[in-house]
Amino acid sequence: MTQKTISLNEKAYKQIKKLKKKGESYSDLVLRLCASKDESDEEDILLQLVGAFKNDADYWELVEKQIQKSRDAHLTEEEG
Amino acid sequence: MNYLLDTGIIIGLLRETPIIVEKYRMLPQGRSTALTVYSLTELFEGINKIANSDKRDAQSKILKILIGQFEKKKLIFALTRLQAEDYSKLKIALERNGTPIPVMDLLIGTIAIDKNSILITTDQTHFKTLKKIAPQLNVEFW
Repeated sequence: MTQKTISLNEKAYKQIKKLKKKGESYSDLVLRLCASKDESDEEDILLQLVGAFKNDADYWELVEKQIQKSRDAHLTEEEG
Repeated sequence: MNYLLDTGIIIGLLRETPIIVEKYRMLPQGRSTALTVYSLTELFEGINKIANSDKRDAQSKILKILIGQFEKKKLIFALTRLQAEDYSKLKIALERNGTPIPVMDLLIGTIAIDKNSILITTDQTHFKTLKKIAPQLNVEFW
């Protein structure tokens, strides 16, 4: 398989070295980290639903403003 | 790291507000994000005001899918009995300071403080006021 060389600064190298398991190559480590990031994103339903209301973006912008107004109208009362 | 999302952030993600989506994607890996029932009331209100019934049903389904996933992880919070006491103390402190804030903001802020979560919100004004009274509130303004 073709090999590629990347360079890391000292700090990044120390960080990544800490994550490497015994017997694991740096390539395996990078693949493991990427897989776990993908898995974490996959589990995040909000990321999966990004843009679900995009067709009604203007309506939801208005809703946001109404929410703010409604919240402002229900202030905790000042002491009498 | 634990995050609590205010309503404006959830709407921003659903309607794909670029800056909110970008910042959300930058949150650390392994994070936990939670919602409050108070945000859900606001989101359902927004949906139930949609005149077109097909559209309303479709968006309601999406919201229920979202809620289902958060429920599975037990990451939808409401004020607990103990937090109710903290809420009242903060409310009194704000009132005595002459800086009342919206009830909804105080409910959400109290939960964020108690859960030691970082609150992510679009509302700078009121949560800045709350932070002055409760410096332990961790808040990010998007």
